[in-house]
Amino acid sequence: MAEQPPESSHPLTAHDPYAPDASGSVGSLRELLLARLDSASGLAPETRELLRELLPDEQTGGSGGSPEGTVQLRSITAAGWRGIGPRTTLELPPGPGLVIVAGPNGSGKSSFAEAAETAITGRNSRWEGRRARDWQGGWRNLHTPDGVTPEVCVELSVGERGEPVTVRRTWYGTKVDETRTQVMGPDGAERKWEEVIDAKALDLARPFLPYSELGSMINGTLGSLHDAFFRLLGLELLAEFDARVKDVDTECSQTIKQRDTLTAKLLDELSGLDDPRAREAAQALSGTKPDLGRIRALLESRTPAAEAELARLRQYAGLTGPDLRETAGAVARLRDAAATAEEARYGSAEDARRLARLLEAALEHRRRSRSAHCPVCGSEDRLDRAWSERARAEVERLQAQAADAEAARQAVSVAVRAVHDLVQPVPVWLRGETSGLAALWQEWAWCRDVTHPRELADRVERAAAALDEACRQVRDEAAGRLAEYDDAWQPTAVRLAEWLAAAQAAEAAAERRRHARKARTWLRPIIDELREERLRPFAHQSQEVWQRLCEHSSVTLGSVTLAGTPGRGRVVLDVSVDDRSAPAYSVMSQGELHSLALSLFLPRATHPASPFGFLVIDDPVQSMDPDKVEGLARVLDACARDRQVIVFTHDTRLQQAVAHLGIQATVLRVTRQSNSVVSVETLTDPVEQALAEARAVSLDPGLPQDVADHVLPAMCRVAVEAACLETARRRLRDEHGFGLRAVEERVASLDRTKTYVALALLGDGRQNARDAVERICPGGWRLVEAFNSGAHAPLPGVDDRKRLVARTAALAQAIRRTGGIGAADSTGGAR
Amino acid sequence: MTASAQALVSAADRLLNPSGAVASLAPGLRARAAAVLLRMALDQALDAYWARVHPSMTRIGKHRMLCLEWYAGRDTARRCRTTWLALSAACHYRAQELPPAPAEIHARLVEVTALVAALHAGPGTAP
Repeated sequence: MAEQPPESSHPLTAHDPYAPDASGSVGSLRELLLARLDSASGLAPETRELLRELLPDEQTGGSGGSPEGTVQLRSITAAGWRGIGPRTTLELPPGPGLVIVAGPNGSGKSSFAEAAETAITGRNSRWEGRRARDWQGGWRNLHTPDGVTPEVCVELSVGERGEPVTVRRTWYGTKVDETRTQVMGPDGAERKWEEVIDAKALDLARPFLPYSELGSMINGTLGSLHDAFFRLLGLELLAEFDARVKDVDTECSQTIKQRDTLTAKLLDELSGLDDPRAREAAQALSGTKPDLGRIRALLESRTPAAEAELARLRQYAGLTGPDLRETAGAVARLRDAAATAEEARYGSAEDARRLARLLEAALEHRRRSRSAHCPVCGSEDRLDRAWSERARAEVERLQAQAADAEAARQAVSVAVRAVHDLVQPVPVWLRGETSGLAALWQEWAWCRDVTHPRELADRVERAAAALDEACRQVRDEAAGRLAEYDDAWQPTAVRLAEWLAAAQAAEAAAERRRHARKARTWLRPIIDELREERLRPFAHQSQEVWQRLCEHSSVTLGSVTLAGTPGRGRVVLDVSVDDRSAPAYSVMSQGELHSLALSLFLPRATHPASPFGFLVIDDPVQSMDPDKVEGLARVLDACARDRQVIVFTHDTRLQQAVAHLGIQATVLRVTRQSNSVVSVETLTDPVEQALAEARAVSLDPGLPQDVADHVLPAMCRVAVEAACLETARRRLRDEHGFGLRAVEERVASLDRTKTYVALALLGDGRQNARDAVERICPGGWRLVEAFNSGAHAPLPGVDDRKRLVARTAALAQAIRRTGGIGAADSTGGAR
Repeated sequence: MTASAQALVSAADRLLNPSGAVASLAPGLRARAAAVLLRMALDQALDAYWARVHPSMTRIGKHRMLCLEWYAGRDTARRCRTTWLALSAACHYRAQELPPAPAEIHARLVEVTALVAALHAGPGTAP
């Protein structure tokens, strides 16, 4: 006989929340990628190098806190907040389990849900919605006297020791964001928020599913859901890797774009410049591929085309014509020499010399012959002493005259040479030109061929003057143009240098981008593969939740996949109606959309890496069919195996389903009286549920004795054990300082009622709790032993049965009272 | 008895997947009729089950199903109770309420078939 209700297998709880993080292999993700990189064929070495360079380091800390950091809710308090006026606290039972907070519309239950979300996350999904403005104005309770500071507060149970930590958010202003948050440890000491709650994990696992998100998840938040999943799956490294590669791509593209803009700007600028360099640069820039080499050469003044003209201009600018002063001097000297030479003609000098020689010969003849007769003309006595003296003087005069003439001739030729020397030949670079300057210069050069002193002097004088004038003109003009060029060129040259740097960078960037793109192409399937691999359990879970919720729906949820790239991805739902695929949003009813939202929310919020041991779901029951509500109850039950699941609902159907399905749950009822006075009472809890069933059965006179003997003690036992569990969880947490994990480990080891009682009363299941039981409930131990052995006194009549239930109720009550509870539950506990 | 439970289930099945004259009835009506038949089938199966456990078992349905947990196992018992209640709600004619959806009743039919089989397997058999 199956005495103990057999654990039905719950695939939802197939994952062990304390198992090593499913994403614990993040550490190996990097190595995995490196290995893939090494074995990747078809990747250029540069691409591989780039990937290696970009591969991020391991992130420490992972995606969430350790399971030791588990956070659970002890209570939610609100005052002056939304529908809640005077301070009201919603106490929650310790440990995992389902809590249904029921209440009619406007009773303030959603205010509690929002209070919890606001206190912990500091924001509220309604603030960000479309009607956020209205909402932001109406957060404050209308029935709050001015003196009361609005506040929301949650008492948490944090960490390995289950420390009570209070998070209180108070409003000092009238705006919704004018809040102050205070985090207090058990000793009243201020604590740091970050030490208590991992904000990143909060964002990732998001244990809150507010009503506003139930319907909008499909069309609204699939993108952010994708990113959350991505990080949840420990794929941040991949995301970052991809982002880095993408950044390189973008960066490179920017560099290239910058170059292109610069090019366009430069081209525009260059077209307005009349400069050979500008033309040259424009040409170099306008090709399909800018010619960097040409620009570089241009900047270093090495370009042949542009330089030729500039060199010419520079030559013109540096042009030196004849030295006019020197020329004038030389010409004057030439003229003088010529004049002197004309006076003493060369011919007369020769005559004088000849005559002198003749006279000298006559004188010699007279001296030798001692005769005064002229041997030439024969006249007698003419060559006397007086003649001789005259002739001698004449000889001397003639000789002097000849020397003078000789000197003058010499002087002229010197002067001519001097003038010739001044005449420069046509400069090499000017030859072949047909400009006026070249002609003048030619004229000037030809002066060299002129030997006649006067003609030379005249021509040189004329040519020099003309050439000098021409040279000056050409020089001035060239210098002017050069200056003009350089003035306009200088800034352009600077730009061009700038451009050159940009172009060089762009060239490198283009190469890098090519590799980055290749790398991304390579990375994409790997990301997809890893993502799919890691998402699979989540997808399965989603499908399971969906199946449970929508067993009878014609809509089936196939695969749940992540598509797109990190940052721009989305969750893709393979939804089909009667085996035809369809977009989720269009074919689903509101109830189905809610179910889908839950299907996506639950796997994320119950991820093993999440430090949050609780879920807060606001009104998931609305617009669900009866069978969906049953499915929901089952799903919530499965989640509640290892988590606090707090569900707010105004619908009684969830309660009913829970009762019919025999799901253990605590039902709290929120009622609101006038002036926003809100009260919370416990309607039922697992102990009450079991007792109520036992009581109902015990009162049935038609129940045969052997059925009663078999059934009633078992039912009573369930009630006692439920009481023990609740008490044990509270005691271990509050008195022994055990964290959730430690508590649940001990709870899981319980098998017999005795051990349940011992754990509840003594905090240790292995001890004997007899004395402790007798102290709080005389005669209770006998009952416990009977539960243990199955040897009960027979229950022939209704009275015996009622007595058993009453004794059980008393024992359960006594056990719970030791844990500081039960007084509030006296409504139906004691009989 | 169980044979008749199965007969009731097949009759319900014919109502849900009609052919011929039955098809002229409105689907909601047929679904409700099927719900009645299914509830009867479940009752029959439970009767047969309890008859084997104890000939004079109480006639109060709720108590029977609460007790069932300790004989047929928690899962079967809870499913019986949920299904029975759901069928019960579906087969009551209330002017203000919508008739049950054929799809829902069909799902209940599958469930009832399984439960009838489980109960037929006999008392003391774990589900």
